[in-house]
Amino acid sequence: MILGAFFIIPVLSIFRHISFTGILESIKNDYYRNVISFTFLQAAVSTLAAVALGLPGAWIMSHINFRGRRLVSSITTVPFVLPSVLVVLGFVLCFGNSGILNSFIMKITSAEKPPLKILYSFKAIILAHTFYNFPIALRLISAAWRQIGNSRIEAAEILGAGRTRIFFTVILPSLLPSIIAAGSLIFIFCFMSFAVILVLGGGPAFSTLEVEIYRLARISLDIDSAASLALLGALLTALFTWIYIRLQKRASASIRAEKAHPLSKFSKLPARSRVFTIIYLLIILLLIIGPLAAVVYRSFQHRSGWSGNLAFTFKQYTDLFAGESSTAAIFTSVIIAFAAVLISLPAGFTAAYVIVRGRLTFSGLVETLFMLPMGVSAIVIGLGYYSLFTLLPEGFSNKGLLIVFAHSVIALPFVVRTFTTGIRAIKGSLIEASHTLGEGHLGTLLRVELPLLKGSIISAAAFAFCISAGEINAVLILSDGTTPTIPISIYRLISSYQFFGACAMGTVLMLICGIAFYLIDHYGGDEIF
Amino acid sequence: MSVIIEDIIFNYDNFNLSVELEIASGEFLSILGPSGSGKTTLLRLLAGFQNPEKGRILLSGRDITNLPTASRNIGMVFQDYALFPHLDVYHNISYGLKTLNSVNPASKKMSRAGINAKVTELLELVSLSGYAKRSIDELSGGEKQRVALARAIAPEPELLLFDEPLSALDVKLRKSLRREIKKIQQRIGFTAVYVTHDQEEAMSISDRIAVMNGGRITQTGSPEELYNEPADFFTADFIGIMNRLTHPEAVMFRPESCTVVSADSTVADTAGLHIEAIATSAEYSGGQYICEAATTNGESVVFYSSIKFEPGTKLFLQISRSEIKTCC
Repeated sequence: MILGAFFIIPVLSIFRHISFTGILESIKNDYYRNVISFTFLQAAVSTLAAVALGLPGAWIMSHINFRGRRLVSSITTVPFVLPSVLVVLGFVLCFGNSGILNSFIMKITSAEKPPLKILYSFKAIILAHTFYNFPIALRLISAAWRQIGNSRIEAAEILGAGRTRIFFTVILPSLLPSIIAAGSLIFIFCFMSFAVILVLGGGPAFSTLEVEIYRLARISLDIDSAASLALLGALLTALFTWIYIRLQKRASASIRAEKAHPLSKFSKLPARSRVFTIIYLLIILLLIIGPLAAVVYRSFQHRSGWSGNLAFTFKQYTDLFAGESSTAAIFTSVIIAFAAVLISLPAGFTAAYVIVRGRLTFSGLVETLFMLPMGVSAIVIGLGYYSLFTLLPEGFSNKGLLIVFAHSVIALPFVVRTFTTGIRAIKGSLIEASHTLGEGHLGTLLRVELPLLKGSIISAAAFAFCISAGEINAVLILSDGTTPTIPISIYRLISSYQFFGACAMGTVLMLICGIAFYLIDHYGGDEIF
Repeated sequence: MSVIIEDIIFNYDNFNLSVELEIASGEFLSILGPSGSGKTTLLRLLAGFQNPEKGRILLSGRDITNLPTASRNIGMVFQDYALFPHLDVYHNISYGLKTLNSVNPASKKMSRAGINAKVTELLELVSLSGYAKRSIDELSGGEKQRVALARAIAPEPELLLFDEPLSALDVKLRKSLRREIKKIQQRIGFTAVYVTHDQEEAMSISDRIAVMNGGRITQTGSPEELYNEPADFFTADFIGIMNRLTHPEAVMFRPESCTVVSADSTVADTAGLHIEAIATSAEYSGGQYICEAATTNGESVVFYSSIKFEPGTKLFLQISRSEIKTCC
């Protein structure tokens, strides 16, 4: 019901703008064909790169016990809650022409021109996507690797298999489901990626479906074409999501088969493995922490004049909190995020409760249905609400409210996922025990289930809050400038090359997401994917 | 507090349960059977976790067949304890004393002092005085099950159900705890239905045992009745060991009814059945050997002996006529 009201209706309202010929035209059109094939290409390359970068980390996290292991594990969850606009900002600061990396190389080689031209290219897109998504591969695959018990490997050794043979005949087949599941999830995310392409791609040469939908809807004001593309994109991503959910179920089924093998001590490893581990960890920490640290660092700097020297200052923050529009943006973002939590939490809990406890014939199908908003991009949901908005009488609907609804829908899959995992973890005998002690369904919910779900509630709320606060796609499509949020103002500041101001705003967003991240990490949001 | 199960039928996939049973007030009845026999399903029907397709369940004359669990006024002790991990021992035990459910027949609005007194009394009953403030994960398996028992009897249910409550514990603890359960049951006098697959446990704790197999109760009776007069070979072999021979005549007998005699005594004693057999194996079980031998037409006989017979030894076995079972 809730899903129907907030998700299906807006998406269906897109159909108003669709004609069969419209879709045919968009497929026939050479330009759109290029856009579609580029969308596939960048997603595929990004996926391969992210899985390749995640694999060594998966081996390390599933085999080695070192000091700071818990910390590294926490840090790899950072990209999960990091708004894409912050990724973009961090990448511009690190890899831009006058970015930290180039300045550093120019200083040691005393070169005149920036040697690395990464930004606004295919490389930039792949790099940002890899950084943004490799933790998914790392976490999913290491979870599976950890579960390959020693007994299986020892059995192969006793049967006389060598190390290479064991890897290809025992380890790889056991890891494959999780590798494919991680890969397909990353593929979906990259396929739907928006802010990264919009800013880092920097031009029509690197336009994807999502960016194209946005451009058509808000710049060319050609809603009909946008709708045709949106439907095409939604069908494709829905298909990928369905494949992912199926694979993920199989992967998690194979995971529970065995007892986890013990971790080796770092000091007991051969020197080669130790060097490899240290180098890898340094690289990923640099990749994750680097761009974020750059944002914070730059936010305390100020350049006098166009080419003046950099100086430490609080000016960005005093400007930020003195400026009416910037404080308004922070206020708007926080209010919208709170509202999105208030809507998505009860809705998500009810849905999860029905999925797990209700005796539905097609509970698997219903679960897939609730995961669908994950597969239907924020742009499409935004477009749906936009199209719905044009239907409503003038002055009847409030754009802020539409954004809240759109955000609730976008956050819903994560909320439902957190709750289904949490509710499934409650032993059935506890509920039965409560009933035998004379407590009814409501009493059991209040006295047993909700208290046991405390962690899931906090984790789900933090997820929803973070997703809403960092979300830019739907807001860009829905907002007409009257409701700028934090990500929108960062986007505008980047577009007008006011990087220091963008950094200060970015740091504020980082702080908000940081709190959410701490809560999720503390209350275990590990099993979301 | 009597229970009457009137011809209930329950189908699940290919499994079909059909049971008729009466349990007297204050009786301790065990349901004994192998896994898959339907004993747990029967217990779940009594608890109201599942509803039968046909038939009625009466508790003290009250029809509870389709009543929700919470309104049945029953208690249950679970195999995995099912203690609430977010509550301490005190609040686990007092959980059923102050429910939000007004339909619950046992819902008496107790005063805080009343609850305090009750919990203290129950903790004493299960020998856990002073444990009120402990958290659940500080408890050992045996302590957890005592708390679970105290929690189940706190609301004074008319019927207490036990679902293999001791199977997660080690042998020694299992024996002492089952004695304790029996003692508490006799002291308070509640009616109990106790599900187990352990025949020794069922025999030691029950007033009466109902043997289940394939969704049916095959026999009910006191432990002695079941052992000495089993209705069929299944019951006979499930409760203890039963030998069955077809040659020289169709007979059944317990291992302890069979003794090894010298070759010449077979002629002298005509009151016994005499069989020739070859020893095949001997297992030492402490104090005696559990021996197995093959008769001349290949049937196997189990008997106890204080001497170890090497495999291949020729033996003369004597079974006293009075101890031969005639059923089946």
